[in-house]
Amino acid sequence: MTQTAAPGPGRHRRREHWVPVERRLLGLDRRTLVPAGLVALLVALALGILPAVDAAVPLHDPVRAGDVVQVGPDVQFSPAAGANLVSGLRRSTGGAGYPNRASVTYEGARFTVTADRYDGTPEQLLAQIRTTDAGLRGNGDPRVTGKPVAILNGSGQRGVTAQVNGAHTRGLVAAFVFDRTGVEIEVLGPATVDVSSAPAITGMIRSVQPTREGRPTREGRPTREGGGA
Amino acid sequence: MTTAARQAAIERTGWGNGFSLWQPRNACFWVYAGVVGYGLWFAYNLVDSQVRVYGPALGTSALIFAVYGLLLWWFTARIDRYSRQPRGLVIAGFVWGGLGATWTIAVHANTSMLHLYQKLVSPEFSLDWGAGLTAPVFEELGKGSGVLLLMFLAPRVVRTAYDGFILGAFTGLGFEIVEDILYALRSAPDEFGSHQLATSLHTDVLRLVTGFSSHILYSAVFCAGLVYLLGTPGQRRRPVLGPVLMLTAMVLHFLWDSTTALSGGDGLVVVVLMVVISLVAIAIVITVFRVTVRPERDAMRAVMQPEVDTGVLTPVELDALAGGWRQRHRYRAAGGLRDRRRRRHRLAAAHDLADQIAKAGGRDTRRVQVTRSELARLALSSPEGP
Repeated sequence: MTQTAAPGPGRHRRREHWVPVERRLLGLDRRTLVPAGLVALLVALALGILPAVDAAVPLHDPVRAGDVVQVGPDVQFSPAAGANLVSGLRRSTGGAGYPNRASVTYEGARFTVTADRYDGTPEQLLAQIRTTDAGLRGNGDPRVTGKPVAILNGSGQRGVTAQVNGAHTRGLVAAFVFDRTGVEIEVLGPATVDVSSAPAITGMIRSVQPTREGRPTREGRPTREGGGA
Repeated sequence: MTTAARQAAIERTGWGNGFSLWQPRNACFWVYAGVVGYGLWFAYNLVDSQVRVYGPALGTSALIFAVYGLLLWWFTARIDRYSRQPRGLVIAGFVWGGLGATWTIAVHANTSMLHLYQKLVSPEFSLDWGAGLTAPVFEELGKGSGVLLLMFLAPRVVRTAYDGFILGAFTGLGFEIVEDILYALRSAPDEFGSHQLATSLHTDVLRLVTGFSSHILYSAVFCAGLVYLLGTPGQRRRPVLGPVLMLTAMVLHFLWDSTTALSGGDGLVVVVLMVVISLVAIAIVITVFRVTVRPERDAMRAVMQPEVDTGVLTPVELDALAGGWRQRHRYRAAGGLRDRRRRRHRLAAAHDLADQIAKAGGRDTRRVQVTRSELARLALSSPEGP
C-alpha cells in the first residue's frame, strides 16, 4: 500500500526549482547560463585579465639627473639618475597634493620613502617600525634584525638605521624625524647581494631631507627642521 | 476592484513568493557561491595578516560600523513596506555586496586599473582621476552583478524595478560597511601606527557622515535601472530609462570620487562639492524611489481593496496602507494622541494581512483568517471603531 503525502511548503519549493530535462545543459538550467556567464566574465576580467595586462605592461619612468621626488608636503629626496620611479610624484607636478609614500627601483634594489606625522625620536620610530613589521609579516617577509646605528643625511640631520632580512630579501631600514614629520626609508634587494651599501643607494639615503628649511616650530621660533646631531 | 485584480497584482509583483539560495541546477548559484567564497577567503587572509598589529583599530571600527549597518538596515527594511522581499534574499544581496563585490571584483580590478593609468598615462593622472574613472565602473558593476544573479535565482520574487531598488540598497549596504571597515584598517598604519585608534576613528567619523549618500544610494539607483533594462514578467523593459539610471549612478560615483581633483586640492571647495553632490544624489534617489514605488503601491491597493469592500478596512486606512509617509502620518494623527497607538497597530496588522494574503496566493487560508481577526480585535478595542 502506498501513501501520498499532502504537498508541504518544502515540496512546493522543490517543484518551483525543478528543471525539466530538455532545459538542462550539463545538468544546469539553460536559462541561467547567460547571466551566470556574464558575471563570470566580469570576475575573470577583475581577477585574471586586468592583473595580467597590468603585469605585462612595463612601468618605465626613468629619473633624470636633478629630479626631486616629493613625499607628502614636508619631505623630498633625489633618486639616482637612471632609477625607475615606481610610485610617487616628482616635485612641483602634484596637482592635488603629494602622496606620503614614494618608491624607486635601482639596479635590483627597491628604495621606498614614507613620510607622516610622528611625535618621537628616530630611535622610537625605528622601534615602532620593528614592532609593526614583526606583527604584520609572515616568516618569509623581511624583518628588522640588526641593532640601530646612527646615520646623518646630507643636511646633517641625525637618524638611525638597522638591517632587515627576509627569506628572499635583505637590506636596511632607516628612520628620521624632521620636526614632527617621521620618515621611514626602506631599501630591499635580493638576499644574495647587499644592495644597501652601494654608493648610489647611500647617496639616495643622504638626499632624504625636509622640504622647507627654517619652517617655524610649534613655539614659532625658526629652526633647522629636525635639528642636526 | 475585485479578487481577480488582487490575483493579478500578486502574480505581477511576485509578492509572497519564497526564496531559497540552494539551487544546484542554477548556474547563478555556483557563480554566487564561488565569488562569495573567494571574497571570504581573501578577507580572512587580509584580516589575519594585520590583526596582530591593528587589532584594536579593526575591532573598534568593526563594532562602530556594525551598529551603523544595523541602523541603515532598519531604514532600508522600513522603506521595503509594500511587496516585501524575503529575508533570505536581502541577506544574500548584503553578503554579495560585503564579500563578493568588494574582495573578489572591486579590489582587484581597481588596483590593476590604477596601475595601468599610472603606466599608460601618468602617475599624476592616476592619483588625481584614477579612482574616479575606475571605482564607478567596477564597483557599480560588481554590486549590480550580484542583483543580476539574484534576479535569476529568484525570478518569481524579483519582479519590479522597486525590487531592484531595494535589493540594490541592501547590496550597497553590505559593500559600504565592509569598505568602511577596510578604510579604517588602512588608516591604522598612518603616523606609522603610533596612534592607530585615533587615525582609524578619524576615518570612521568621515565615513559615518558621508556613508548614506554613497554606495547604498548608487546601487539602489543602478539596480532599479538594471531591472528596467532587462525587464521581467512584472516589469516591461525600459531600454532607455534603465541605462540612464545605471549611468546616473556611475556619474554620481565618479563625481564623489573626483572631488579632490575637481577642486584642485582646495579643502573648502572639496567640502562644498561634497555637500552639493550629496544633495543632488539624494534628490535623484528620492525621484527614483517615487517612480519605482508607484506600481508597488498600486499592488497594495489591489490586494487590499476587497478587504475594504467587506468592511475589514476603511478607505482611509487603505489610503494610508498604499500611500506614502504623509498619508500614514495623517491617518495616525487623525485619532489624536490617545488613539495614535491603536492606529499604528491597525496599520501594522493590515500589512501582516496583506503579506499573508500574498503568501496564500489570494486564497482565504487559516493564516489569512487569523491575521484578519487581529484587525477586528484592534478595531473593537476602541470605542470609536477604526
